[in-house]
Amino acid sequence: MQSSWRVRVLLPATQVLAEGAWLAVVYAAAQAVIGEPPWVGPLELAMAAWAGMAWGRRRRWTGPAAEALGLPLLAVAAGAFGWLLDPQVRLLLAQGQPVAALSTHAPGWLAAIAFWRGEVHRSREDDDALADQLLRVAVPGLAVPWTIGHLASSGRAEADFTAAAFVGTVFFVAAAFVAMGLARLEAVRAATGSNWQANRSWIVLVVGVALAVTLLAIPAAAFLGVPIRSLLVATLAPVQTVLFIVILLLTPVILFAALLAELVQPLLPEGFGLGQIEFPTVLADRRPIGSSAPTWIFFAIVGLLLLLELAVLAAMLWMRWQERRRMRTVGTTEAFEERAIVLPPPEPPRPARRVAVPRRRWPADHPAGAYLAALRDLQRDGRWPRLPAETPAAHADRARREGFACAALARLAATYQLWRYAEREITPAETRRARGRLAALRRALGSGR
Amino acid sequence: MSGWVALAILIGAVGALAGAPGLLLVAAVTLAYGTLTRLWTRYGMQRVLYARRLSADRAVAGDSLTLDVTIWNRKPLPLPWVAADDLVSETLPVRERPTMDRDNQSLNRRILHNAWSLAWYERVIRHFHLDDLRRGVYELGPVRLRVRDILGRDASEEQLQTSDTLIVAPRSLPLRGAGPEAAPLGERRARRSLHADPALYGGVRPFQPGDSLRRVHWRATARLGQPVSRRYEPARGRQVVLVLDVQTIEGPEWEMVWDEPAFEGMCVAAASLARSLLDDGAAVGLAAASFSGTTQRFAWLPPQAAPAQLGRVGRLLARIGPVTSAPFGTLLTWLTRRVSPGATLLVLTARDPVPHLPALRRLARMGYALELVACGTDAARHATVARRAAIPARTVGFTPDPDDPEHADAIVLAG
Repeated sequence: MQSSWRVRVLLPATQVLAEGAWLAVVYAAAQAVIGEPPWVGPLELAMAAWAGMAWGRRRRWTGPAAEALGLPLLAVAAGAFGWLLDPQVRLLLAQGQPVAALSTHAPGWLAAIAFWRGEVHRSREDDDALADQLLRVAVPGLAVPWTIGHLASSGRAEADFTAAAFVGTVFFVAAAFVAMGLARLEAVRAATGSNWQANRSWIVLVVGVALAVTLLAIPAAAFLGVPIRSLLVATLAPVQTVLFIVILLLTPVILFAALLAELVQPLLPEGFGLGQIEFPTVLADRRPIGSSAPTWIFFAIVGLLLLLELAVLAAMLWMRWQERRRMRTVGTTEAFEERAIVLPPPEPPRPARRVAVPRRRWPADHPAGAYLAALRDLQRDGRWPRLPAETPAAHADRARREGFACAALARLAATYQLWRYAEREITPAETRRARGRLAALRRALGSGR
Repeated sequence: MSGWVALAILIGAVGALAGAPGLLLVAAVTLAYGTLTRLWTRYGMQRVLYARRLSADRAVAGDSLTLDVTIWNRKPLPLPWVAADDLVSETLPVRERPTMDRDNQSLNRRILHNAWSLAWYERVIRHFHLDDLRRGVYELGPVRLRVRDILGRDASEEQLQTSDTLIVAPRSLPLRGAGPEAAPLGERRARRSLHADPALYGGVRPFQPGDSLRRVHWRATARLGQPVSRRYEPARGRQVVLVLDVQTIEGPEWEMVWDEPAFEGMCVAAASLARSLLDDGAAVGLAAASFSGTTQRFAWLPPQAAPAQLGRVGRLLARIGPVTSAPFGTLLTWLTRRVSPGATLLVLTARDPVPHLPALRRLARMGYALELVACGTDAARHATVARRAAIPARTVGFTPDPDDPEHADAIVLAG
């Protein structure tokens, strides 16, 4: 049975995002150590990890030469991609200073490690084991870059680090948990051959984790004192990267457009130029931005994210409904599985628990307490314990016959029987004697050993 | 578990001392990750009901049954992963699980693996189909239940000692070829007899004039409100014991080799003969030198003419296997202590009868009516050998394919 799209697409996406996110925290700490703001975020490193995963799972170019050279060369290329994401590096390269550029933005080469981490996911069978391993190691392990980043930076650099590390941590927790859940579901599917199309657990898992992380991120950010501006920069930095990549990819198109413009220019009338076209402006109010605006923007973005997640949920439910309808139309044979929410019938009331009456524990200076203490000593000694069916007198008699030559036991038993069964009052003198008899019995037991 | 808590506390303490609230976030995540399992460890297995239901506990070879496996989470805590490993007999054919893993801890068992994700109070029933069952006894259970937490980590495990047994008897086919010109199987039984054996009580019948008052069943008369008399079996009844030679390949009896089609064909022939004989009014028994799920050395069913005897024969045939528990000669000797002389012994064998001819002749001299029913590919030759030794013999074949008992629609008794 073939895997569903959510396993083929969503699971690798969450896996590479988790890998990129924890590396982003490490990268932010490294940048904080050298006092630079972070330029690379979880998405950029996730792209490098995705490239590594794609290389690891490839079906062609699997020869020995490709195996030996491909991984190091592509890892270096991924590292170079991460290194180039710093504008300073690009500027220095444009100015023809490659040596100076190489000494800049060294932590960007962490993208090579991201590539290698992606390549580790080469086997789909190991998905759940790798996700488990990642959570086990990386969750507490994130404390190390957090500590280093805090200790090594201060002021603006610390704020930048906190924002970047916060974003990385949130991305990591969300992505790793979702990856783990999806990997387990896939393992179940592979083990049982069951069809998870009809299972809604993955929807609950994905949407639940996304909602929980989004909702928890707001108070967590406030608690950590993450500046809203830094957070916005860290969140929107991937957009900058995406634009950079788009422009890079569109370079031939732009060059072609420039060539076309060059060719068309002689045909245009004299004085015609783009400068004559006036673009409409949306900036009607040019008042200075107030101090509360970033907060509003932040909450607006969070609200938009929530709306987006709800829209995704609605889309998934709609697709599932469509799929069910299609299955009904196709006319499947006998249903293999029936699911229903069934409340168990109310259990019959338990019988009232009998309240146990606590046994009175007599003090050792009372004749009854002295006799019971003597019985406990005999039980502990093990040679002459009282049998369940024996009366106190019969027990004392048997002990005497079996060699316990201490009259104290018989006297204590007689006193106990008088008090317990005959309900006779015990005189103070008898109480004093009981204490002495117990001591004598203990001495006899000790000497008998 | 405590290690994760200690680690979270350590990270939190370092975060507090270093003034790094980010570490508190990591500590919180570590604590959540470490303690999440505890919820399912403590409550996961509570109020989980696992049940299996077979559409029938007895069947005939070739039948198809349904097996419903039910899992019910009867509590508000969802179970992201609950798996059940049901140990079933190795040869149980499950349509939805064409391949099942072998269980390492028990002999001849495979694992019917199921896993679910259950919401609160959710009940799931899976309908499995057991197709084209073969003769034998199939055991289901015990079952191992495992619960995992939301991240798929093992949280709790339990073994339920619930077991079911499915007995699949061999098919019993109609006899063909035994026409009126053929000699009857065993001894023809008189339906009526002038003499009844008062030791063979056979029920009651309405009182008829002339019945002795001694013959009136007074208790039944009082219960029914009309006079009834005791009925006795005829004094001369017919007892036929089917004696199976389970060893199908020549050689020492302790060799663990057998001819599977020949043995299965012999079982089908035995069931078919038992059915035919019971229909004819005979008391039929069964004996074989094979273990049948008990500590007894021989599988033995005393002869009876009751209608339920066919089911008993089928169940005993389901339990025996092609591995001998004793030499066939020992079984023949043992039978003289169980069956009185005069009874008919139908010996079903798929191998050369020469080694057992002395024992068979001795039984004949003792007064047993002996008849050999040869099965297998060399049935005709074996029957000839027996006839030369003055032992009546017949052959059994299947139609339309003489060597395919599984898809036969009748058996042919010749000779």
